Amino acid sequence: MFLAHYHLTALSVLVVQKEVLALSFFLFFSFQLSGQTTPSITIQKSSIKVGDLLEEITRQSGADFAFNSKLLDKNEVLDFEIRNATLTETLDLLVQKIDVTYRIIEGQIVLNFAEKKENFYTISGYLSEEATGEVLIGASIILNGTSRGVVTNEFGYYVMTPKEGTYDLTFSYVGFEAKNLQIDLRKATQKNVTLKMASFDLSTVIVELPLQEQLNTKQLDVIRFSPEQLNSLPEFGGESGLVKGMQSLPGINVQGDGSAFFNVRGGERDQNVIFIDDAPVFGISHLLGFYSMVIPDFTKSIDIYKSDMPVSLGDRLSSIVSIRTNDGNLNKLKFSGAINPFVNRFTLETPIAKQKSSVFVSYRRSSFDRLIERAAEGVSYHFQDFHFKWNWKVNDKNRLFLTLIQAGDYFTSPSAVSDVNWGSGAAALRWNHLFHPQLFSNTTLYSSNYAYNVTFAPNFWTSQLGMVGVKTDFTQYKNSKYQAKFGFNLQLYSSTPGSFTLDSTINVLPNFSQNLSRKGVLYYEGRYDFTEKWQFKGGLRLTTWANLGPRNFYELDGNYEVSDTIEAGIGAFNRYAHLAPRLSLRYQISPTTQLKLSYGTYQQYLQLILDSVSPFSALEVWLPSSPNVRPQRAQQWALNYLQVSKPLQLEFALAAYYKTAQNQIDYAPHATTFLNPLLEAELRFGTARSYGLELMLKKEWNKASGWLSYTYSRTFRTTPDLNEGLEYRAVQDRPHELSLALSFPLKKRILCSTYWTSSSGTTFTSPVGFYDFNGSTTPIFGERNNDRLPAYHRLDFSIKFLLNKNPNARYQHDLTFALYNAIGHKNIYAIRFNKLEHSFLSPLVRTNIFSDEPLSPSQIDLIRFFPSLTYKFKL
Amino acid sequence: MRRVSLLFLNIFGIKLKVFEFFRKKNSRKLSDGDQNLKIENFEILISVQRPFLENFYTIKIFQSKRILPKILLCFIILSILACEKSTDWKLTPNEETKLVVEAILTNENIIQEIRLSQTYPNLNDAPPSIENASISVLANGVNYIFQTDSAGIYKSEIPFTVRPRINYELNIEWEGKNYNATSQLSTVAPIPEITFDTLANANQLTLSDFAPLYNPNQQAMYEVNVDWSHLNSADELTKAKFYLYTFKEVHLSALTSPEKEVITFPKGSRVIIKKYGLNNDFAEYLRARAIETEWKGAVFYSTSENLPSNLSNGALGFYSTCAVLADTLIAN
Repeated sequence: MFLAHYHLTALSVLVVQKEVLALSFFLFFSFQLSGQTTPSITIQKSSIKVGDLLEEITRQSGADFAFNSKLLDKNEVLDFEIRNATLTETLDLLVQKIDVTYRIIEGQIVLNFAEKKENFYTISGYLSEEATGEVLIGASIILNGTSRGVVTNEFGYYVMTPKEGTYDLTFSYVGFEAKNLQIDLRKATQKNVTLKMASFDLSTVIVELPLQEQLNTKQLDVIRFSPEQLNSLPEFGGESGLVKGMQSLPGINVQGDGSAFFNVRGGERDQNVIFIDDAPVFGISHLLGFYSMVIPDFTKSIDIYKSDMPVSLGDRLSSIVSIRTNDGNLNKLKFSGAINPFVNRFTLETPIAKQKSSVFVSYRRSSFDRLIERAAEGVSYHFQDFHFKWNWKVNDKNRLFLTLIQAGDYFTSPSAVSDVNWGSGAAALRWNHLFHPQLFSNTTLYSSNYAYNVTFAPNFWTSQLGMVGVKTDFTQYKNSKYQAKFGFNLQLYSSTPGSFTLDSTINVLPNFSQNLSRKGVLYYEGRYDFTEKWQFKGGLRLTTWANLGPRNFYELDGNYEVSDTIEAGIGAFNRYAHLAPRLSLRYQISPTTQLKLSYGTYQQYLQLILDSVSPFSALEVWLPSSPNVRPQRAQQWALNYLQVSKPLQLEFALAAYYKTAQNQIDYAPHATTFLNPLLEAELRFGTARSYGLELMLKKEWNKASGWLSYTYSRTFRTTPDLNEGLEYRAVQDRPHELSLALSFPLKKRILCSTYWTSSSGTTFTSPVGFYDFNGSTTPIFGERNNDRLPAYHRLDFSIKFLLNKNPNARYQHDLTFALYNAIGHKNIYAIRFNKLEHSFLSPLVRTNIFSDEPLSPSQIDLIRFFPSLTYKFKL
Repeated sequence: MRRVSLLFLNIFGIKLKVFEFFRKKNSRKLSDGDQNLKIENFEILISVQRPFLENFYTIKIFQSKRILPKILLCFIILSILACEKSTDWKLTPNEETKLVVEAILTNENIIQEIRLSQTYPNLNDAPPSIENASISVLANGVNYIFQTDSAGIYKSEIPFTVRPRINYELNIEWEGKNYNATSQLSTVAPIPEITFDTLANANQLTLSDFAPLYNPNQQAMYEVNVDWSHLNSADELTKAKFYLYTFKEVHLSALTSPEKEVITFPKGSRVIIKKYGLNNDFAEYLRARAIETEWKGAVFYSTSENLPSNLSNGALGFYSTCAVLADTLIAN
C-alpha cells in the first residue's frame, strides 16, 4: 500500500534551508539503496498503468513511494521495459515516462511534481495538394473544440504548440476537401498532410467565402486573390491581367483603360511594389499597359496589403503585392495553354525526381506582330514573357527554389530608329530551412532589373534600374500564443536616369552618371494572443539607406538652382535611417465577427520620375533618395471589420483609413524630366492626405456567386511651390467607385461572368481663360486640378464553354468569349483645348494662324467593344 | 491624291502615325460640305518617324484590294487606339481680365511693334485690345515712345535697332498700374538649309523639317510666312503663317505631340522665314507655351500649368529682344 503524503512544501523548505545536509542525506541513502538493490528490478510491460508500475517497483525494491496523489494520474498507461536494473536506473526511466523528479529520503522515494511543467508539444508539417504535391498557402489547421488555429505560411508550412493531449485536427482549404486527423500529442509531431481538390464547382470560383473554422485565421488587412478568381473575371484581349484584376478590389484604382498604373488608397502610382517570390519587379506591363507581365498560370496566390503591411516587406507607402508562384507538379507531367488571336501562352510542369523536385515553365508571346511583319517588311512589335521555377525538396528540413522572370517588349524597324525595347527581369534563389519545428527560415538571394532602351545605332537612350539583395526571414513559433518574425535584408541598387551613348564624333547631349545606393533592413514583429478574442501584433522595421560614390552631386539652393557641386569619393556620402513601427489590435466580437485597428508608418527610397499624368507608361526613370530627394514617408490608421454569415452565405467587410504622407514628389511647371542631368532640380516636394471608406459584400448562391463593392475616398496634396501653396485635389482623387462581379452558370457546361465598374473621373486642370500670343490661343489656368473628367463606366462580359462532357477526361479544354467594355461607353481619359473644330475624322492642332477655323474642346477615349476568343487546354 | 491622318500614336519616343488614308482617283480637296466623297480605293499606312523630326518611314499595311488578311489587324488597332473627337465642355472662366503683352523687339532697324490685349473667358473669343496704355522702352538712357493704332498695336515713334549687351526696359502704364520687364538681345545662328517636299500631288509642296526640335547650342523660333496669292490659286486661303521652334531641352510631350495641320502650298509660293535667336527666359516661355498648346497630346501629358512671364504686376505674355535673320525663297 502506498502512502500519499502532503509534505512537499516541508521538503522543499528542508532542502532550501539545509541544503548541504539534505544533499548529504540524499547521496547517502541513494548509495545505500543502490547497494541494497543491485541488480534487482526487472519489469517488461508494453502497457502498464502508472499505479501498477509504482507498486511493482516497491515490490521489487522494497522502497515505498511518497507523492501527491492528486498530481499523479495512476491510470495513465505506459510502456515500461527494464531488466536487472538498479532502483536508480529504474527511477530514471520512470521520470522520463511520467515527467516527475524524485528524491530518496530516509529509504522512501519521494516523487516531486512541484517542478513538473505543463507540456506543450509542436505539431508541424507541410500541407500540400494531393494530386500535384503543390504546397497550399494560407490553408488552415484548426484544433477542434477551440477557436485556435493556424494557417500555413507561404511555403505551406504550419506549426502549432498545444498542450499535450488528444486532439482532432481539421486541415482545410477553400476548394479542397477538408481532412480530419486525430492526434495523440505526447511529443513533438510532424504531420505532412495532403488535401484532395473538391469536385469542380463551376459557379463559385469568383467568390471564396472563408470556411467558418478559417475565420479566426483570416488576416483582415490582406486581400488574398487567387489566380482562379483572376481567371474568372472577364478577360481583356485573351488575358486576365493582374492589374485589371486588382482594379476590381475596393481601394485600388486604375487610371484608365490600358493602364498598368494603379493607385491604392490615394497613393501615387510608384508607391506600390510587386514581389514575385520575394524579388521585386519594377516594370509590370506590356504594350503601354494593356497587358500585365505576370502570366496568370504561373501564380499560386496573390496577397495585397493596403494597410498594416508586414515589417518583412517594403519599402513602399501604399501597397505591397506579394505573388507566390507555382512550384510545379511533383507527380506527373502537365501541359496547358491558351490560344487567342492576340496572345498565346503555354505552361509545362513536370517532376524531375518524383515527390522531390519539379520545374514549372510558362511562356507567353503576343501573336499580332506576325501580321505587322507580313504587311510591313522589316517592322515588328511583340512582347513576350518567360517564367521559370524549379524546386527541390532536399530533405525534411531543407528545400530550394529558383524563380526566373523575364518580360520584354520589342519594337524594331529597318529605319535608323532601329530598336525600342523595354523589359523587366527578376531572379530569386530561396532556401527554406527548418532549424527545428518552431523556427522556420527562408533565405533569398535575389535580383531585379528594369531597362528601357531606344536605339539609334550607334547611340541609345536608356533608363535602367537594377538591384541585388539577400534576405533571411525567420519565423519563430514560440508557443500557442506567441509568434515572432524577424530577419534582415541587404540590397544594392544601381540606376541610370536616362542616358545617351553617342558615337565619338558627336557630343551634344548631356552625360549622366549612374546612381549607386544600398539599403539595409532589420525587422522584428511579434504576435501575441492575449485571449481567444484579443490579439496584438507589434513590429519594428529599421531601415538604413546610403548613396554611394564615387560621383558628383549637386547642392541646390532655395530656388532649386545649383549652389555647389560636390565630388563624393568611394563609399557612402549620404545616409538616411528610419524606424518604422507597425501596431495592430484585433478583437473577435463573435465567432463570425472581427474588428481590427492598425497603425503603421512607411518609407520609400525609390521614386518613379515621370511628370506625365496620362494613364500610359512612358520613358520611366527611377531615381533613388539622395541629398536632394528625401525619402517619402507615410502614416496610416486603418480600421477593419469583417462579418461572415454562413447560413446566408455572405461575407461583409468594411475598412476605413486615414493616411498622411510627406516628401511627396511633384514637378516644377513644365519640368524637363527627360535628358536632364539636373533632374532633381525639377522636383517639388509636398504633403498628401487621404481618407476613405471601403465596403465589400460577397455572396454565394446555390449556383452563382458575386460581390459588390463600394469605395468612398478622397486624396489631397499640398506642395508649397505649386498652386500658390494651397491644398489641391490629387489626380487620383476619385471619390466614388462601385463595382459588381457576378458569375453564374447558364447551363451545366456554360459559365457566364460579368463585371461592372463605375467610378468618378480623375481630376485635371482646365483653363479659366485664354489669351493670344503670336497669333494663337494660349490657355490660362486657375486652381490645380479644378476640373474632373466624366465618370468611368464599363461592363465586361465573358462566356465560357467547357468542351469536355466528361469532367474527368485527361484532356481538358474550354473556349471563352469575352467582351471588354460591352456597353461601348466612351471612357474619356483626356480633354484637350488645342484642336480645330472641323478637322477631318481626328481633330488636328492648328498650324496656320491665318486660319479662322474655330478651336473646340476635344475628348479622347480608348477602348470600346473589345472582343476576344480564347481556347484553353490542359493535358 | 489626298492623304488624311485618321489616328496617330506617338510611342516609345517614336511617332507612329497609324492609318493614313490615301485616297486615290480623286484629288479634290476634302471639305466640310463635301457630301460626294467616295473613297474608291485606299490604303492604310503606318508611318514611323524617328524623334527629332526626321522623315517618316511609311509602311503600307492595308490596301482595299487586299482587305481580308488585314482586317483583323485593323480591328485590333482601331479598337485599341484612342478615339478623339470634338465635344462640348463647360469651363468655369475666371472673370478677372489681365493685361497681355506681346513684345518682341529685334535688331532690325525698323519701327518696332508691341501688341497689348486682354485675356478672354471663352475659347474662340476675340482678344479685347488695349488702346489707352502708355508704352516706352528705355535703353542706355534713351526712351523710345510707342504709340497705338486702333488694333492694340503700339509702334515706336522712330525706327531703332536693339543693340547687344544693353538692357532694354519696357514700361507700360495701363489703368493706373505699371508693368515693366527687361531684356537683353539674344544671338542668332544662321538659318539652316531649307528645302521643300513634294506631295503626291506634284504641284503641292510643303516645307521640309529644317528646324530641329533639339539643339543644345542655339534656341530659336522660326516665323514662316507663305504667300501664294499671286498664283491665282482657287484656294480660299492663299497665305499661311506658322512658327517652329528649336530648344535645348527635350520634353516628352514634344516627342509625342499630336498631329498638326499640314500646310501645303503650290509651287511658286513666296516663303519668308525669319529666325529669332532666343535667350533662355524667352525660350522657356515658348517651350512652356508649346507644352500647353501644340504639344498637348493624347498619350503622354503633364499637369497643365500657367506659363511663366517676365512682366511684373501679374501681366501675361512676354517681352523679349531678339536677334533675327530672314530668308526669302520661292518654293520650287
